[in-house]
Amino acid sequence: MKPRASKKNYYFSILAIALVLLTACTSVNTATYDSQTDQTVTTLQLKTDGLMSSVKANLNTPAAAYKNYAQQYQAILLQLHVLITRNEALPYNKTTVDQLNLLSSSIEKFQKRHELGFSDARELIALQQLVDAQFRSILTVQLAKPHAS
Amino acid sequence: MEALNVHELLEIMLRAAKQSLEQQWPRAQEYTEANLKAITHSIMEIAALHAEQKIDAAQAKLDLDIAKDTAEMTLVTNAGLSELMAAQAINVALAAVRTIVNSHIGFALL
Repeated sequence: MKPRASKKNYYFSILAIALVLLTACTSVNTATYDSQTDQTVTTLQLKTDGLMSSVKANLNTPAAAYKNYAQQYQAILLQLHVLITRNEALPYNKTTVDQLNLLSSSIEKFQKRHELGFSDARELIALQQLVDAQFRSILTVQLAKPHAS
Repeated sequence: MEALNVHELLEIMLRAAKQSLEQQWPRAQEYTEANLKAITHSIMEIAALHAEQKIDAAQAKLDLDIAKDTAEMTLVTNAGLSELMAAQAINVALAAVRTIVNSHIGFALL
């Protein structure tokens, strides 16, 4: 019985080594698609678009004041910060991390701009187009990533 | 002061992007053009609002900084997409010769 068990272990070892070689050597390492990032970016886009559209709808009324939106900015930036941390932990993911940092920086600038007060819808439309383009860029890269096998 | 021409601005930006991206331009063209159009229109709008004195210099600077972030995002995205496509091409090439190489040497090297 013993030699037979030993032979079985030998074949298992060969199989294990082959599998390791197969997975380790057959591909160039690259970032893989992350469904949580995809979903969170879409959620953040909805929240950010919603905030900007609301400011536009309330323009030149007291409802458009920054103080009415301060908590929404805080929530968006916090969720974005958590998403950046998650993406920093994912391997080969520098592009997405750089993109999320740029988006975070732009939302902070938009927040500062809101503090100074908006008066013309054209400005909000222009800024909304820019921020939308950033979200589109992040999703373009995410959707181009291969799915983990 | 001479008015900014949106088509002229977009043309200059597209020419620069095309030169910079070289062979990757056909694949990156659609995405890059869409983003550069958004950036150009936004810059035009910010300049017009400033000229009409509807926003001051500090407000215009913050707006333009967001436009710059978006332009940088376009560059980062194109570089990232190129990297992903190159990795994918190498992996497809390796997979194409896997069976031949492995059967030739007698074990799963690839």
